[in-house]
Amino acid sequence: MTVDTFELGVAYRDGRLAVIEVAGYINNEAGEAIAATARRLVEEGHRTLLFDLEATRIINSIGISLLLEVLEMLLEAGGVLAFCSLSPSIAKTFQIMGLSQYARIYESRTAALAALTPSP
Amino acid sequence: MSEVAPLLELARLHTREGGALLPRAVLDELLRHTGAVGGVLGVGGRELARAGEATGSQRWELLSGRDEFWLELAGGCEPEPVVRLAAGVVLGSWLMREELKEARFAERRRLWEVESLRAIAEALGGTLDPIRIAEEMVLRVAALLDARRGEIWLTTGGGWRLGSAVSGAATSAPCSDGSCTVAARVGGAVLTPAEAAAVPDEGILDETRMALPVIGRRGRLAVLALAEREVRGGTAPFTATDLDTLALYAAQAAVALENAMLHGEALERERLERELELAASIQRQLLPASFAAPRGFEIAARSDACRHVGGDVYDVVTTPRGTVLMLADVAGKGVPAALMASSLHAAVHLLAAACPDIGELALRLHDHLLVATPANKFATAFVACLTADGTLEYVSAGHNPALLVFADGQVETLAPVGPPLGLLPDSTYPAQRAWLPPGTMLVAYTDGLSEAPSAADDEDFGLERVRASVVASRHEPLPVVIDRLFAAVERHTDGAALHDDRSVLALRRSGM
Repeated sequence: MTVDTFELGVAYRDGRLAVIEVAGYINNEAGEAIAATARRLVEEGHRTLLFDLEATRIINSIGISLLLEVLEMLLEAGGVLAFCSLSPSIAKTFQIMGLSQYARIYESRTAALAALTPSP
Repeated sequence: MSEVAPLLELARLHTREGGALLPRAVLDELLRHTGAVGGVLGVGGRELARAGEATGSQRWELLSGRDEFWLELAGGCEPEPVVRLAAGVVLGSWLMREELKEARFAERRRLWEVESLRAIAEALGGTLDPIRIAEEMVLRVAALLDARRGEIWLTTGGGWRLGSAVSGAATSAPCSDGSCTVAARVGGAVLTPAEAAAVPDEGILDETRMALPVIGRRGRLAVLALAEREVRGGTAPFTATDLDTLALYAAQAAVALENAMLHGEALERERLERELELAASIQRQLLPASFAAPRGFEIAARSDACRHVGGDVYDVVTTPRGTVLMLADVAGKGVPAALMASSLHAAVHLLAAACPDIGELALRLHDHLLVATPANKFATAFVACLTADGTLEYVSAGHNPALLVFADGQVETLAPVGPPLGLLPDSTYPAQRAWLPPGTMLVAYTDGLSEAPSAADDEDFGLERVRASVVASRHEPLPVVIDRLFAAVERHTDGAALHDDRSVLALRRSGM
């Protein structure tokens, strides 16, 4: 197993919602990239950010602190931070570090989109 | 009051980007309020925000009741007391909130550390795959110690099959001496292969890296290595405490990897056991269960191997000249002896019909063993050819003397005529002759019977006891004669486990 590269991409955006795919190790560098992307999306008017962490198996405390800042920023902007497809280990980490208290956690992207997309 | 309202309003701001935003916003408000073109805001010896130039300016205290905030303004500008008070309150509230957040984060981080230790113990307990153990380990350790890069090397000390075990996992070549290979890696390489092979027992702790060997009861199993401890906005050196934490994980990894290693060994033993069972089955099929004896004769045999497979072999081959009988005992035990016994068995089958006499057959078998086996391998053998008139042409190559037991109980021993087959290059095996009157029995046996030690005093069963047993039962059917001999030996050894293979090949000419 090798986890060498970090990748970030906005997979979907529509009105308030934007879906960001994250792959690799969420450390300082990756966390900064996530925070910058989140700021840009909020500035563009998106208020619900869903991070799909299916391809992420590892996050360190710097990465968590940066996600907490993204959470604060979104709360300040009246937005919603959501995560989906967490590995059990990352789900437990989010729970312990307090992210799960204020961010929404979904089992899959399908479940997240169903919950976060307003019904017509 | 309305003068300080915008300043107080800042207290409602959420802080972002490490908390740097609010002090700057407070400073900007103070500059706007005083008309200063530059200023510096700080607490104690720490600068919190700066705008423009304010060197050498007077320092104003911003009262907060707890922290010593201060302000320096360019151009001798002076903040009003109420503005200083408002700024102090806002900054004091902000700093307290920041400290609370940090304390809560630190507390949760401790909890996360404990949970990680528990989780890794659980995860490691749930797998016996060394690669999965390595992956779990490197992910947990790198995350918990905020390392930008981490890796785990498995070393040959753990008995891993490195090449195949980690295929696809390692992106770098294994050590030059092949003693270690990367099993899992996150964020990039930490050690060179040469460094991984040379990590000292006490580990490595330098400016950017730390590494520790994972040492089990049988020696070095793996090496855990981390690089670049991250802090907000950069990196900091690892500390001795970090190395202690790494040691905790290394100890857990040692237990998990050792369990995996023992499990692997158990599987390997089971596989070998199955192969031996199969080999034993094949060998049993090589030894004939029934024999095509010439008219007027009966033949019986029995062979008990002391291990799964044995070095004793017998066979009976019908040829145009007569019936060829062979009993051989290959030096040694177990698989090597069994392989050689099988080779001898095949050779007898191929050569028996082609040889003009039994001496020539013995010589050809001898040559076969000389060429086909290591120098220290040889076999004692009794080879004979029986014709319908009761003539027995035989060669005993270093074998225990076979017994001719006559109907009246007299016994003639058929002594060796040459050294064991495959031992000495220039050996000769002149054929001998004997004649079996009706009622005569021929008993050839291996030394696993004659040299079976007594349970009481270690005395060999001996030739005399072999002779006595077969003489006593000479009127019984051949299988009974053989079984009674085996039973006598078992009584002698008090049923102890066989120390050598035991075999008997017997022939009897019917009485008139």
